[in-house]
Amino acid sequence: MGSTSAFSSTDILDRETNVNPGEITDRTTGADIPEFYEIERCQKFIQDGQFKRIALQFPDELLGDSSCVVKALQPMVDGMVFILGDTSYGSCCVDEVAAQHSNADCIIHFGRSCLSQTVRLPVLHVFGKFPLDVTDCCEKFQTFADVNSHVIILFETSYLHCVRQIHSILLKSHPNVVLSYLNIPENTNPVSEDLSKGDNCENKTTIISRCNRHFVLLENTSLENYSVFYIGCEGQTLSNLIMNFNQNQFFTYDPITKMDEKHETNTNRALMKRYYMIERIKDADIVGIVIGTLGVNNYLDVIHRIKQLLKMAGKKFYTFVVGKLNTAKLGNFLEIDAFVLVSCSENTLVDSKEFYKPIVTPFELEIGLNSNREWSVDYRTDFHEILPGSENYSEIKVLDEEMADVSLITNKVRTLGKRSNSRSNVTDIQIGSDKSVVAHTAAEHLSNRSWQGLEQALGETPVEKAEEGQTGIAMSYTSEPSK
Amino acid sequence: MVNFTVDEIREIMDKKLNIRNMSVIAHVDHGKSTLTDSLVSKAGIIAGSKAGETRFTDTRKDEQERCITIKSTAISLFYNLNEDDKQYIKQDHHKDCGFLINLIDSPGHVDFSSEVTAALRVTDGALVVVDCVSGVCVQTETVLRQAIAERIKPVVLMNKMDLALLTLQLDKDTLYHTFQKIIEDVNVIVNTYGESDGPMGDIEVDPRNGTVGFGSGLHGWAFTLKDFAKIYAAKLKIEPAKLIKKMWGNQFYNNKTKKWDKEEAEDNVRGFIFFVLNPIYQIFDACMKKATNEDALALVEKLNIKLTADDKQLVEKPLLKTIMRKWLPAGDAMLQMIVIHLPSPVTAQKYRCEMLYEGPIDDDAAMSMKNCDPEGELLMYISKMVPTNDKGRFYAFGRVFGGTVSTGQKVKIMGPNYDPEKSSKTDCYEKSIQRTVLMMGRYVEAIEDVPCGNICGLVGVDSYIVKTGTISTFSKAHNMKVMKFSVSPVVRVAVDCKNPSDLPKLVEGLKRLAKSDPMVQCSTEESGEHIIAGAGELHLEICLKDLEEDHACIPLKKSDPVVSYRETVSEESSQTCLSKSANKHNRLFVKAAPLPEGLAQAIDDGDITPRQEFKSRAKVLAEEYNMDVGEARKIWAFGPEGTGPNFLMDCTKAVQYLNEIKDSCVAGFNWATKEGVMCEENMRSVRFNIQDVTLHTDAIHRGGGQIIPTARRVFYASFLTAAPKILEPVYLVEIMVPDAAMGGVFSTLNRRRGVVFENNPVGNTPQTLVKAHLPVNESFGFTGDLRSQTQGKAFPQCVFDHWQILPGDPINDPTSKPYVVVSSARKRKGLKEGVPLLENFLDKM
Repeated sequence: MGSTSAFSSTDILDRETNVNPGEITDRTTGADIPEFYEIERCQKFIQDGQFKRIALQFPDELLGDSSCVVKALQPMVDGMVFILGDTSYGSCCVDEVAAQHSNADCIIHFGRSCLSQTVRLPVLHVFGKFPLDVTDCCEKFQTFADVNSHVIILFETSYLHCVRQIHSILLKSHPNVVLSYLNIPENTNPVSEDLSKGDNCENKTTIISRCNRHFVLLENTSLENYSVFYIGCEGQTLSNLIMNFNQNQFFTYDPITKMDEKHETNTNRALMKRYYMIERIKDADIVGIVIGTLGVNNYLDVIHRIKQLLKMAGKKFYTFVVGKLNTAKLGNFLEIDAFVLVSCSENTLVDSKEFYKPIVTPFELEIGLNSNREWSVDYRTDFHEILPGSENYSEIKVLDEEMADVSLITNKVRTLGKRSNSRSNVTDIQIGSDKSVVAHTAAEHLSNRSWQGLEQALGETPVEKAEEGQTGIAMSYTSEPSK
Repeated sequence: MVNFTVDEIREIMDKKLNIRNMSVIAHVDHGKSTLTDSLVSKAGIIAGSKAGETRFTDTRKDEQERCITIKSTAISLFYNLNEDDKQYIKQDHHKDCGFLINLIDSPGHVDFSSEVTAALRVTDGALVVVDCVSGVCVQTETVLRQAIAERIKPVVLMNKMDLALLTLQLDKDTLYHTFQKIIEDVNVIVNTYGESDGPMGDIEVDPRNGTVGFGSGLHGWAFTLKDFAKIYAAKLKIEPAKLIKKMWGNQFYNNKTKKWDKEEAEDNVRGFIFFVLNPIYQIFDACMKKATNEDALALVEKLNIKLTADDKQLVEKPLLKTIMRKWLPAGDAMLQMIVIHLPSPVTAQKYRCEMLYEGPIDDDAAMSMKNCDPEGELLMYISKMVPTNDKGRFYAFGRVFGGTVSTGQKVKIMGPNYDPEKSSKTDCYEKSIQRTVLMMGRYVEAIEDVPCGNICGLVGVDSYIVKTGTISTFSKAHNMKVMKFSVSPVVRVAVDCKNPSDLPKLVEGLKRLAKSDPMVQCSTEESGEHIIAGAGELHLEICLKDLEEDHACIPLKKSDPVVSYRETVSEESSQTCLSKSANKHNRLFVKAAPLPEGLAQAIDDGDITPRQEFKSRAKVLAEEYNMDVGEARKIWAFGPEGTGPNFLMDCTKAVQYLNEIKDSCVAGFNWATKEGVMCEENMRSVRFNIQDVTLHTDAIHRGGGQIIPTARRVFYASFLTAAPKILEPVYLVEIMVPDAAMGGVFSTLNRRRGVVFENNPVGNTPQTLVKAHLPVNESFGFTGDLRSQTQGKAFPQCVFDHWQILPGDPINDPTSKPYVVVSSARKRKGLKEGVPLLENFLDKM
């Protein structure tokens, strides 16, 4: 958090990006750049599409290789190749807006990806071929899996290049191992295409599609019977998968440290934490909608849907675009009771311990406010879940009448459902003229503050010409006496 | 029992001068419920349609199984006072009709004393039952103190005289002195906590005034001096009123000379003994010590007691019981005491109004209450919620103090957080009352309306009230004062559903549980844990059982009970701590220090509050707590929640823009004190002194986003540099134990870090009363352990007393107790191992 919140000029110049140098740069020395970044595939993509302005998007940890990639790629194509770094939101998402700023006509996204669908530009995903010790991985697998156990292999996108090999080795000894496939947005990835076609011919089986991944369950089995073998390091991808497959036991293999780990079935606890968030959103009177993506398909629909839900539930809302989140940015809005973050599924879970107010996901908001939805262990992070067309879609239904219940967080009465003041005719109130209905707005919050800004003293002070204000940078203005 | 139709009951309700609202309060096992039974069988009102059905007071199965009262129960009684007794009533009353008594039987076990508090609020008088053998016990004192603080008039009944006479064989003189000691003890409490020359007048109890009764609930007899005075008045040719004065205290009667004397001498006997105890002892001896019942029957003849032929066949105890019951029926004696000496709502509301109502004492609601005016504005206090047969719904149970509450009436429902001064109308709803109901024991009868001075239930407002609330028709009505409990929820247990998809049911169940008990706290923590906090093990046990069986109806996983701790500091910060805002443009300099001793307690007790006028508060702080007056005037905030026992102090000098960041600092302060840095428990008794602040000149660079997290960090830093400590809650334990079993008590207490501070023999019994302090953490299983160590002879009562520092370094010494407390709390809450280091919060210049 420290690096992103520093704004003063010297800090920006001196700023260091949080990269784990030992982790990445060692791995990609000049020689294997064409191999690691699949330069040939990039070239083919560009030539097939006859793109002229090609944006290469790098995550922070691979930015060091970017110039080498450009050097390798530029001579092979006609168009102009340039680099996009420091993405506005998560580096797992394709930054279309930044690409459009420079009039790019296609994007090649390097590195780990959340596989979110985008619409504006043609995109090629190059995950990078991160090294993995196949033998070691298979050995580690043996340590926890019985011969007959049902296991799904999930993996971080960076290891796509070798999972097939692992799967085929494992199948020899463990017949019930199932490999998952990535739903790569543009489907230009030949590997993924032929994989997904491979097994789909059987009809009796169940296809599970979640988190932009899908897999085919063996006959007569259901998802609950499976445990998950995850290849990749700890991170957003893993925590996202754990939340979405919260009924399954997770085993992870970290290719970098070569450590395997059995994850405690503590997902119940994680779910409870999210349930707490749902309660917080029910408690909230004023909700801030934070836009955390400008690329993921349908994000506008989701925002619209959220607004609709909030409006029907009688809550006041404001929309914020703040780029990457940090505590200082959101802390400026004291009047907001809770934030809802619209972003790709991997960035949507924010552990808001450090934030002054909770940050919830659109899915949680939906569960909290749409009374057609019931809380179940079926937890999703993808906001498409709440949009029309998803398998679990349900119409918005908010309690017609104002209903009060106890909040277990504040131990106070809170109102759910429509507020009585949203109805225009409150004529049948017997007592006096002052309505005792709750009307929570930011303006009201201001009236409760001790500091309400400078007094305007209209008409009490003589009118004066505008004077020139202070200039310079915030650290110390030119007109300020030096401290 | 008396049979009335609802209409007849409604008619009596209008006679507000003849209403008595009273509660029965006492230490556990002093015999409240037994006495209440004799009242009910004497005068209990049941609506005609319900007559003939089974017993009245048994409401819960577990209450019968455990032989303790858990929930308070309200019952109505109707009593017609004899003409010649009406002269004793000193307040106005209707001459031509009987009296309606609304009685609330409350639990005696300390764990449920919140029920007592709720009962006291809606009543004006209290029948304090004291076991004359064990005397005034801790819970007697607690409830009596509360009653007096609520301006509730007490009358005392000495119970268990049968035990004193039959089992302990006390002689007459000893018995008299036992009584006198108890009365003195009661009056000491009354004088300590009561207001001398307060508006209630003299509320000391005295047998000569008729405010003390004697009897045996078990045998069903009781009397006041008046009863005996009447017997002798004719014979001695003295006015009963005069004779009563002679029957207590140092008044000695010489039977030969028929003269009274103030000094004891060879040939005279104390009035009380001669006129009261002698005949009683005679009957006891005649029944119990003689082989035949002839002597007894002769006495009966003499006393003009009418026995049936069947009765005359009885011997010993049954005969004794029958004779005493016919001679001195307990019901009559108590009902007379209640009717004569306890105030009517008209009397009581005059002086209770000013201390119950938070608003101006002359607004419409206050006037309506003060005058007990059924035509005035409605003012009703809801003191508790009673579950209905309809799952998840509750009757709102309370007292109408002003106006009349009626079915279909549109009212304002105000929760404890409502503040009519503020523009935002939080915690206030305008709703119609679906139905008003009479609540009698477990029966409920619909009634059209209920005028002030009465107790009733409301249907349809339950969802707008968590536990308590004020209901009014007056648009500018203020709240009635929130009840203060004598116990704190210091024992917590985490519950979880066995099946994760049952979570909504669990949450719904917790909400219902929160409503149904006046004190239990149910909450969802940020860690996702669901916590139930109660007064003690028994309280939690009952709550968990209710939750599992009645409210949530799902299988539960329960954690072992854990204690809630507090985080505090023991010294002033070793350095002035600096934290910079994220943009590095703002700096906060803060030192933490402990609050003066006793101040945190005063804040808890509501003696020092954020609402007080700051100058007078500063004066108190300076005089009683040695704080600097100048500093004491600059308290920015109490926290957590704006009311807690920690201060944020502005100790800066001439800082520009300071007032702009006050809100942000207060927000950070509330945040930091709510979730302490060591294990996210509340902080307690800490003051944060803001020493200096440098701020950026542009408002945009010193907004909440910059200041709130920085304030939180600097508070944490200053906390960590001020020798942090863990506070643990400590029970006051009172153990009644036979001398022979004392060893077991001491060894059990010793093993559990208990400290005995008082150790007194009880009166003339072979019993000893041990008082000790016992850390709540060590109290789990204490009762069982103690019983097994004393062969079941010792009975402890534990009530939360104070917070105490758990000695040891909670951060750096892994072998210390507080370290274990902190690390296990962190683990339970899913926090990272180890208290965050100071470096995380402290910045360099």
